[in-house]
Amino acid sequence: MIRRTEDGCIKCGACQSVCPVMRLEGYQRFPGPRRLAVEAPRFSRELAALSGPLQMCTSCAQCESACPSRLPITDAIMRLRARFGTSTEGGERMLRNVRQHGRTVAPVSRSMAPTEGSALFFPGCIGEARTPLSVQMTLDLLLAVGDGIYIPERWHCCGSPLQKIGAQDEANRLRDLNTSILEGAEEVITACPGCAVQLRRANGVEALHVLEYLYESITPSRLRWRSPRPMTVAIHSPCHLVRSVGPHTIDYARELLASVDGLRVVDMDDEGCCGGGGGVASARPELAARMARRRTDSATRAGAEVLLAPCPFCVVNLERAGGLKVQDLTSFLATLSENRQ
Amino acid sequence: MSLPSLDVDVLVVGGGAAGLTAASRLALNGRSVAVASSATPATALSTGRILLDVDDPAAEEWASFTLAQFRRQGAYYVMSKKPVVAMTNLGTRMRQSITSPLFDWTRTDRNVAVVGFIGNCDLDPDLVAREVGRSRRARPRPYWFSPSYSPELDRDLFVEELGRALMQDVSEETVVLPPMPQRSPYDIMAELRKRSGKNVVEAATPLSWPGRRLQSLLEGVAARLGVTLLKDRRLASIQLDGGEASAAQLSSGGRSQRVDFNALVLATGNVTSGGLAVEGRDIVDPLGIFQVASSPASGIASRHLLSALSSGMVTRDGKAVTRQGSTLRNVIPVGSLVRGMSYPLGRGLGDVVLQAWKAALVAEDAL
Ligand SMILES: Cc1cc2nc3c(=O)[nH]c(=O)nc-3n(C[C@H](O)[C@H](O)[C@H](O)COP(=O)(O)OP(=O)(O)OC[C@H]3O[C@@H](n4cnc5c(N)ncnc54)[C@H](O)[C@@H]3O)c2cc1C
Ligand code: SF4
Ligand code: SF4
Repeated sequence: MIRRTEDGCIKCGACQSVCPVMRLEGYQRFPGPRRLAVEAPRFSRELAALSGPLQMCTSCAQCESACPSRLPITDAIMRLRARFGTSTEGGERMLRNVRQHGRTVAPVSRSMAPTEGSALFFPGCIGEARTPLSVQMTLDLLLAVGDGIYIPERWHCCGSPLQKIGAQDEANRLRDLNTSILEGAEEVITACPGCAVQLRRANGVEALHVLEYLYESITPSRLRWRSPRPMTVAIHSPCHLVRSVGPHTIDYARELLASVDGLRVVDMDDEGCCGGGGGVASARPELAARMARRRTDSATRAGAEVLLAPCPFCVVNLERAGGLKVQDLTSFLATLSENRQ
Repeated sequence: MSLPSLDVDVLVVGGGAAGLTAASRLALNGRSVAVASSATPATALSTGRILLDVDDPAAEEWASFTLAQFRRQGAYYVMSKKPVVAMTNLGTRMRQSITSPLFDWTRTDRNVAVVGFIGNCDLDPDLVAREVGRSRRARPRPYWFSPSYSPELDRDLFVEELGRALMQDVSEETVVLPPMPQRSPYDIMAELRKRSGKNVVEAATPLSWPGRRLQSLLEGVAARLGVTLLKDRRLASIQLDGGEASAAQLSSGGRSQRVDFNALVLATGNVTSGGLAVEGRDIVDPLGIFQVASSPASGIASRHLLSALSSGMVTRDGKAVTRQGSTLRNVIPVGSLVRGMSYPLGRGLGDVVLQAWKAALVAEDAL
């Protein structure tokens, strides 16, 4: 695969020009996707000097979707990172938690839901531990509008963050632990885009992100919302949602919000990564915060009072910026729902 | 796992200059149109300058429609029947019929300052000055400017500092700058002109902002006319029924979506963009459906490059032809995907947009 990355590059620079880290940090601090994925593997003497920059890649895949040759740039960067074993304090903590609790973050409480049913809701480690309230609101909405929603007694991290830090064995172990848990479900719904993608790829389960579930599986007449007062919001496009789960999800988000009376959705002049992905939030929190700031600034310029992110992980990172209210998109819809439980 | 299906009059696959032009004309005529595209199109990698065949009556028609639409987005481009000459970032001259006056270097001014920004590799003033100086048509002088601010992040401070530097340290009346990293640089350029009192212009630079700007303007035109832009979607397969295409599967992330249509416009570009693929020594259609052949061409030293660029989809009365030789009545290939339309063998953007503008009517006939 790395071979293909090297050989297929036409040196157009499209990847370099869209990389949010490179735009923010400049070439000196972050040499960009082409340098890391295509050129670096050819000059192995320099690789050691790149271990710092390798930690700064958020795995947003903007480079990859811009590449006219469709090279697997992000994968190549992640593999290079794994080869280095760039272990960080955050990564070690994550591994400890996974060994102890089966989750990347130790859970504080359990969301209230039936433990049996037909439609399995997978809250995700970050969601349940860091934004428990928002997960509960999402869940309440699902219970009100969906059928057979449940959370199994036990579930484990989907393994996605472990893969990002190169801990493939641990990711495989979790995949196997989740297999029997997922088996009984007719539908699998996740709050986090990363979980949806990982469960599809690793477990072969047709997991839906909660936006896909709401838009595709629920009859629109069951989704009735009203905003208590006129409100202006902006939508953040999570990288793993738009580029891995699929770009249709953001169309869904727009349409769902368009159906809310009293709500105005504004476009931002600059779209992009929250800055927290790919282990950057734990390895380089100051960079993650600066990138988050770019997003919230852009939303503020557009006149938004709230920045809505259909991803718990993005919410946690965007909140680092401070200044603007950030909320999970589904839990926001839940607060406006006229038939919440 | 399929997404809810979509139904349109015309599905356009490929959202570069060709696809967007065809889509806009069809939408203008009241058709429902969706454009599915993925990855950076060659259009966004180009210099964004368009040279038109002004003897073609479609040129005037396309230009007056498109430039009016550009103006609605705040972009001031004009058409000139006699091509205007611009300077490229390599110091070569480039002829163009459609451009913004803010980007042009008037040929009458012989004393030109070429200003590079330290840390920006789009324009090397030493190289440009050397090259342009050789032609003796001008006396260019190179300058290096070291910006304290980012034009992207601290626009106002950047403009203030550069404006002052141009006024105080540059004696020439015309100043050529690297492209501003902006979708809408017109106000910055105007402000720099006002602050410095000089004729400030931008170099024609491929792989940079001018091409991206053109791309976003063309997308803006289509969106304003009600075209559905499906970004990051790839055409995975086409369903053929007898002599026509009836549906297509697009992929969105890991899922697929069926699109039903009455006509299919293919605008997936040439080998650069993946509309055509290299298979051994042959250039083929990556879907394995259509006939691809080369046209007689010369002017490129490399034999392989010549064969790659002179190859393209075969058409009959503007319609696609299968490998087996039958014509598909409602599949219309447009742009650099078509045989003989690849730059620099074709004329690039100008040929591409005019061909697509006309082909839109062929697509309409097939409805
Ligand atoms: C570096 C460079 C500089 C150039 N400079 C100039 C210039 O100065 N002046 C000039 O006139 N011309 C120039 N050209 C040529 C000009 O850019 C092209 O002629 C023109 O852009 C072609 O437009 P198009 O719409 O046919 O294809 P493109 O703009 O390439 O659009 C095709 C699109 O289709 C997408 N696609 C392909 N396969 C699929 C699929 N299966 N599913 C979905 N989408 C798909 C591609 O990713 C791409 O986005 C330049 C080209 C390059 C590369
Ligand atoms: S994945 Fe994102 S952050 Fe990493 S190199 Fe690509 S564009 Fe840059
Ligand atoms: S976008 Fe792809 S082809 Fe272009 S420079 Fe980057 S890796 Fe190379």
